[in-house]
Amino acid sequence: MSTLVIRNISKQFSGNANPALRSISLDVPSGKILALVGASGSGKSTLLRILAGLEKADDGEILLGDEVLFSKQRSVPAERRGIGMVFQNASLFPHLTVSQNVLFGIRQMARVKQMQLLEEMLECVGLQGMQKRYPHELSGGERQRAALARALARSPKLMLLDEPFSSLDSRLRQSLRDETRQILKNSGATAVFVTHDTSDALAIAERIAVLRDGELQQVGAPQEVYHAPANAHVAAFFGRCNFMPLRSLAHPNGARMACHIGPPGTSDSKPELWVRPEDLELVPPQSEILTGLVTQILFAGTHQDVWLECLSEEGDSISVEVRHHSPIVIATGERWGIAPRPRR
Amino acid sequence: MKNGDWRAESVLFRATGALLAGLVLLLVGWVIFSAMANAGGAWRDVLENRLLGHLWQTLLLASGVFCGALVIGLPAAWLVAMHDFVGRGIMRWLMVLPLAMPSFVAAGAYLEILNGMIPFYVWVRSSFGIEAFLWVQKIMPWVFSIVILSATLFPYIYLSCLAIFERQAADAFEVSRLLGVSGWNGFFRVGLPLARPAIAAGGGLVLMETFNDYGVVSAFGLTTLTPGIFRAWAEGEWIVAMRLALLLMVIASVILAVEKFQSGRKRFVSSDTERPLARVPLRHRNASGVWLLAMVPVALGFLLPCMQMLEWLWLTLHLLDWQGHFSAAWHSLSLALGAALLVVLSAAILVVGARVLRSGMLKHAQAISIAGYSLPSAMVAVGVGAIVTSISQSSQLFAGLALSASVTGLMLAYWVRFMAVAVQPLSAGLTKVPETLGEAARMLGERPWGIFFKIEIPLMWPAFFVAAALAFVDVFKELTLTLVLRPFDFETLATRAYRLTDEGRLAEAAFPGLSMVVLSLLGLIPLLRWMGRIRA
Repeated sequence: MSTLVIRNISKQFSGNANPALRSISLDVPSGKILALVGASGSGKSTLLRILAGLEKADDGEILLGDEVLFSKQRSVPAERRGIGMVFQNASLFPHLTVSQNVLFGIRQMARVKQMQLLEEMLECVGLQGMQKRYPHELSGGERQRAALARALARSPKLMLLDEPFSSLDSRLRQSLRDETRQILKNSGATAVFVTHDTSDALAIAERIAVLRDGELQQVGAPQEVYHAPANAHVAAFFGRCNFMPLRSLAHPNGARMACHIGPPGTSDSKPELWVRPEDLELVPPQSEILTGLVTQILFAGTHQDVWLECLSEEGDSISVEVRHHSPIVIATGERWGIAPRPRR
Repeated sequence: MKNGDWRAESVLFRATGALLAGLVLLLVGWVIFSAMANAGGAWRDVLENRLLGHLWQTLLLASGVFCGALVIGLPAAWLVAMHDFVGRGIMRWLMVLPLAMPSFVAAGAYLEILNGMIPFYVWVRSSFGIEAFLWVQKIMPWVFSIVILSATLFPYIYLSCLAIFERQAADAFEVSRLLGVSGWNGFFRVGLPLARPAIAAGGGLVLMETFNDYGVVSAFGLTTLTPGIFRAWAEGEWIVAMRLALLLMVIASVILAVEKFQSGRKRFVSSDTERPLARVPLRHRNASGVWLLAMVPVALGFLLPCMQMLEWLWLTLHLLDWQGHFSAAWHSLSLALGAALLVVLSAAILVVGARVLRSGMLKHAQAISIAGYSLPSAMVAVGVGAIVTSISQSSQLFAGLALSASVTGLMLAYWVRFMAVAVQPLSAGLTKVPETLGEAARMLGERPWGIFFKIEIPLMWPAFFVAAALAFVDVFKELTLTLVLRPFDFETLATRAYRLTDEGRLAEAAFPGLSMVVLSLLGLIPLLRWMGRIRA
């Protein structure tokens, strides 16, 4: 079993006023994929490097399975942790061929076993026949796959990936992303990957941990994090979100339907509805429902992003974004009603 | 961000760093300590009669050579980097040739010319009177010295400015051209400011070499500080020698501090673009002018002395003392090879160790190695000489090892003095190796030595060649340290050439002189190839 347990990990870099990580605790069940997301400077890369052993935390504990990787008493050096790591731009050794790269970490095995593993790995990542190529002869996607093969060759219990897709163009990203997920699941390793791209996280991960300024904001399944964010930061991080000073939103048929994703709990100071643009739709204007004037439209292929200026009950001006899917053409200056879109 | 994981492995790395740093500090400390002893009448004599002369001659020579080297090196680098003309590629490396000509060897050739200037003096005397004649006779040695040193040292400024212009000026200059600023205007408003750190770096080297020069100034009878130190040392007035050496070190430190200040303040975003620079073509008339001008320093600094020496060699071929020459050549080669090996290995340990072990201590050791380079040769010579002599005198055991102690002393002096020559190219080479590669190797189970040998070093190969070549050439040409510290009856090509020139046997000095030029050229080949690899 290779469950990853992180307890109270803190880190402060000397010379920085603020700590990089504040008492982070989270678990990754064996064989599952966790995504660490956050803005630059949120501490996600620092946490990953601490997991790898390339940095030392100031405090806390890290356990992998039943082995203590880090605690106040001891810290296992990175090269002995048996963790596989894929870096941002593959970091393949430029002076070695693909096969030499992949074999780099398993040189102490018997020759026959090495060759066998090499074949397996290359097939697993789809690079059969590329043994003799050098990194500069590979495309960006091929390099990442070779880096994966190299890390997986040692059958690590934990795989760490640092922004593995950020250096690839968007079309390549999608396919490689899905392939990587499949490869990781096949290997059975527990995996943690760092990304600032929320679509990567939502697509591949089974758990997502959101960091902000070194503090853990929320940990949960992708659906949870997306539809039930713990705070406004998380809500806004994963997609567009309207923060409307309203108590509820009426539907043309009279019902008041739940479409909001927050705020969590009861806060009686100021009413606020958090609604994602895709949970709203445009309807002909009516008296009891929220209506507004269209100020801006952006065509996005599959839909139109429409902004409307509305008035709240108190008379404040609200800007609302609606994702309009129907083929009805919207023009700026028109008046439209905004209604909740049922989730079924 | 220290790791603390590799304390055991880091022992060798840190021991090397500590040894080197310790040596430099011991040296400086010894000199300072010795200088504080009572020097008696000898110092008073120097203070009253010679010190001022030493000082202003040193400063005058240094300023003259700096200006000369600047006026030659900077425009040459600009023209070669920014403009296109027939034979540009050849001129690019032709301008480096004078680096292979040791200044004191050129001095020997020029002495002959100076001696042959009697008709000129007669003409001056008859045309302008005796006052003018005396004045001309007085300044001639200065003119010759400044010209020779400028012509052989300008490549330092040329190379550092060339590097900046070729790599970083491209974008700036192209933008300025589009804004209507080009030609001379472009040079003054764009090139010059960009080149300031390069001028500081190259100029610093030029000044250090000028301070350290002994062969040229003694050939032409100038009394700068270095000959002054030598004289005191030879006369047995060690304390006087130490004090003068300290004075020279202070001057050198001030210069280097100014240089650091100049380069440190500017940080350039280096252009990563690989597209070739669009050079401004020169009109043929201008191009021939450029060639004419460029050939003057190359002729003065390389071609003319070579030709004179070839003529002498031809004349004295039948007189040559082959045994003496070959023994000297053998000594030169073995010392240079041994020192280059020592210097490159220890520089590698410091530079790569600092990276792999992320040791702050090693980074400081790097700084100290650069400090070692900034110590004047004369000071290193008398310092190491005093230490070695004291050790060998203090015990019977060591006295018996006088010869080996002396060669050891010489190697230690070379080590202190020339570490920086290897450290610079190696650090530059290492910056091309991304840190994540070492980390990736670590995650694959590799320990420091493995990372060192399997990743960092193979990726830095070219830098090793450059470092070894530069160290080899510098030690090979070295005169000052070798003169003071060599064992009795032990000659290198450099000391031999100097001795023969000093004894007036100029023609016989041609063979060792030319051998040094040839071997220096061979040693420069890796440097030239490395230059070629940087897109021209």
